[in-house]
Amino acid sequence: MRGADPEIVSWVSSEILPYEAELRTKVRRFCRSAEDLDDLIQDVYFRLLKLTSTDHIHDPRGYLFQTARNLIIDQVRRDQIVKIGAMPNMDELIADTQPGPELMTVARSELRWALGVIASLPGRCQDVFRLRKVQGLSQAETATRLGLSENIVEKETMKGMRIISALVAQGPAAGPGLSASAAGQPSGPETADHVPY
Amino acid sequence: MSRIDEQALDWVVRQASGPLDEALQQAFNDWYDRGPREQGAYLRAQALWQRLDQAAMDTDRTPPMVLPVAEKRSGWRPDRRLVMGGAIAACAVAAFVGWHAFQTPVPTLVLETGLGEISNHPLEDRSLVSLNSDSRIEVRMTPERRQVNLVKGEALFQVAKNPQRPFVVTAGSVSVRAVGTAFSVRLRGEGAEVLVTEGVVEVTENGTSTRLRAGEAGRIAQNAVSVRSDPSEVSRKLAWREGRIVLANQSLAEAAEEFNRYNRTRIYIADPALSSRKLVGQYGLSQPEKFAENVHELMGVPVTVSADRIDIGRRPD
Repeated sequence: MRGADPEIVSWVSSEILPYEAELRTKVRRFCRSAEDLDDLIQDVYFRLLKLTSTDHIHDPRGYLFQTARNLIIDQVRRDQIVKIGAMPNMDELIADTQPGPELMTVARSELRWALGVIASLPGRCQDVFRLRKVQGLSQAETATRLGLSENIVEKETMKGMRIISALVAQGPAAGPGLSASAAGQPSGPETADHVPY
Repeated sequence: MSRIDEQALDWVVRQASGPLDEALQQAFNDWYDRGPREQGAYLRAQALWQRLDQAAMDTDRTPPMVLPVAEKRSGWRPDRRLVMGGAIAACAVAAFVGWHAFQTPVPTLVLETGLGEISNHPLEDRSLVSLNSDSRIEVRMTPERRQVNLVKGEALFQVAKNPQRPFVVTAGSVSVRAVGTAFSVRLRGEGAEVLVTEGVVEVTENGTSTRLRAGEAGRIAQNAVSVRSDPSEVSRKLAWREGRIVLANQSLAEAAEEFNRYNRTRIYIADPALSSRKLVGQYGLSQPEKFAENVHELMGVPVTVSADRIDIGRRPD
């Protein structure tokens, strides 16, 4: 069977996605590049895909962070050179696994989240998402309503999903999200060529 | 977003518009079977698509535009700030131990540090000395010459310019002469190591002189001087001035030796096979326990920590 158990998809949708941006921020320094970070996130979701049940997971955020941590450690162990300086901050990564009250509340307000995200899409893209996701129309109905071809509607939907996907990855655009500059920096110790005075 | 993420999103959108035809279904299967990354990205894309369905709950109520994006965004982000790179513990600069001025014809200033101490001192000619852990120097200033004898350990000098009054550091049989420059000298075994960060110094041993420039490291032992130009290695080796140990592909054995220069709790590597593992990272000078803990976790080797020693690898019975 290809694809995940619907129960897992729902769980990831409501319990994991809200923490993806935070996870990315925290693990970025253990990745050499933006590509490595994307790879790691995909590996994390793959682990979640393999879950047979989520009943035993009482703290999804903590579980998410622990999963990422295990993957990083596996990866570091496989490397020829042990990047040991990364470790002190790894402690912060697991020590800080209690969801803050604000985050809990926000994670629940998915309605507001979804609407806000849709409202941020550019013109025609936003129209498409509003009809499909808010009104619940099919792609064909959406095409008819907007007087567009189904093909265009599909293209607009793909475009919108990429934008929304990036929003989920970055968290707020104004904040310290996965901006090009931050993600492009190689992480890890930076002191080797730093002259101490 | 990586290409795989974009492909996953596209597949989810295509599937949402209706059943795939046979060719597309086959293409999807081939794509999905490529590996874990595709499958992980696909789960994420499915979850994202489903998450947007929450918007449908709103059909009968508030018009969507009422909720500004910015408001949502500020809520969605954890506002706890991530402290990056804060792990470098600043080493408390301990007071140096001895400061004696002997009333000899030329007064000699003795500066020394104990284990784990690092201290900085201005000299009367406005040069600056930084003493590393467990080190001792004797300073004699005459009108013609500024003379420092490195008795033990390592010291770094930032020399005030004065061509009329050379600044000379002797370390065993090695002497290092500077006019206005910055360099460190460390006693090592029978010889010495000299690191130059600014200007030029002249290193003399047994009548043979060698010039070292900024960014060069000279190792002097048994009448031979080997010089290597490696500015990043020079600054790495001088990270002690900032209370840090920096590892850039040093072996576990070298890393242990570094920590042992600064700490009473000594690190022993019980399993010689481990000694050559290369490490990258940085620590506060006084964090051998943290280091050992990380070695344990990352290299999967047993580590025993007690009050006075840390054993890495299997402990000899």
